[in-house]
Amino acid sequence: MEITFAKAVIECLLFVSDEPLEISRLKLVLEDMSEAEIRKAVTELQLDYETAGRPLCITEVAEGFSIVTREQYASFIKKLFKTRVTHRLSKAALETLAIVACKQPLTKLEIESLRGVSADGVLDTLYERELIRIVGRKEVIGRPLLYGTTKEFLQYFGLKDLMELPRLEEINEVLGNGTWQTKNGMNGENTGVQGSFEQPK
Amino acid sequence: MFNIVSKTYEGPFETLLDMVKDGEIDSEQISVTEIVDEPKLSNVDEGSEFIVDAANLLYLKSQALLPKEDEKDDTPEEVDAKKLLEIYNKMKELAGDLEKKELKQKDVFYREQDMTTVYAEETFKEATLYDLLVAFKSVLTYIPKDEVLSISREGITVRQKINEILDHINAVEKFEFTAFLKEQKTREHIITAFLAILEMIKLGLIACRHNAASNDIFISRKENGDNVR
Repeated sequence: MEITFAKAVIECLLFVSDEPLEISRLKLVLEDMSEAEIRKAVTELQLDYETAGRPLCITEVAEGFSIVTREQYASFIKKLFKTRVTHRLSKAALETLAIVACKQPLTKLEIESLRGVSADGVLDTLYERELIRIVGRKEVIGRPLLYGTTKEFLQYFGLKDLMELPRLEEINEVLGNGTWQTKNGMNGENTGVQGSFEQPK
Repeated sequence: MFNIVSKTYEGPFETLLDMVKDGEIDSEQISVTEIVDEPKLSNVDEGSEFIVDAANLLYLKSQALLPKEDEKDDTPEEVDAKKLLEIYNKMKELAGDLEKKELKQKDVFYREQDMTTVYAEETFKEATLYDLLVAFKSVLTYIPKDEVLSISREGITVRQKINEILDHINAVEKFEFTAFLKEQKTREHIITAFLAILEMIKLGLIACRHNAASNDIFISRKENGDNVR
């Protein structure tokens, strides 16, 4: 397929799609193109939008691509769609999300042991807003639910993927040989209640 | 205000305390016994005030007596606590990053999510208990509470409901979970039907498929479910 035509097709697909399209999904449509070729086409398209100074741009988000509006037009869009303005997340919700993003999959107890307060309400809110999901159950006593972040999480914060959070690595470094992971880990020795993150008595 | 008179200091007790706190007077120069022996208290108010001040002075003095903490090896608990604190602070920083990104994203608009759009290939996945619970909850809020008048004495058991559902499923092959619950006559029926469906999943009689795009949960009979019971 000729690249100009492929770009046009991709632009159409991005236009009609209401969620970020992954390269792999574009590939399902553009069968005779390789993923590398598709990526190249998307990048060119991105550049076209940029150089033409369009009010829209193609952004890489949530492991895919989306057509979004540029920031400077936000006030007009907000005028038209008053109801589309969602409430911002609370400090507690942001902190909980940060923890989930770093240590997923993890249980409510592990979140609570780190934050030192109950996470019930916050987790409900985050679940309702589809920023976290249940990824499974931990094979320890009580088989508690394990939480992880969603694509909506990436999209909500405009992230390409989790690696885009710079502090993630730093935290993992600290945690690296951390007692937290091993003691409360997947080995089933511990219910997670007596984790080393418990406050010293 | 209580005035004290001693060898080293004369004046209000509170001022003395402030001076000790600020390090203007070395607490070692003040004799507590001298002050405590002194008072000629006239009333309860003055007495209680004096006790508070004296206690504070004692506290400051005892603090001065304690050896200064040396930077020595931390106990394992301290290491853990420090690590915890470090991680927690990092998390806070990350939360701050997220907040900034959130604020920025508030000005970026995506295409409105259209739930009615279904992709060429419908994506079905195994429904989780959570999916069922969410659907169940939504039905419960949708149905108004039974009026007192409509309470019937004849209850319905989960077993009866299972048989009912089995008949239903034999007739229609598959049905939508939420719609089915909404068809139930009363709250009691809804709850029993929900429990029956859970029980049937457990028994392996039926399969639950969740369509992520339309958010429908379809219940269908399992292939090998015929010979059970």
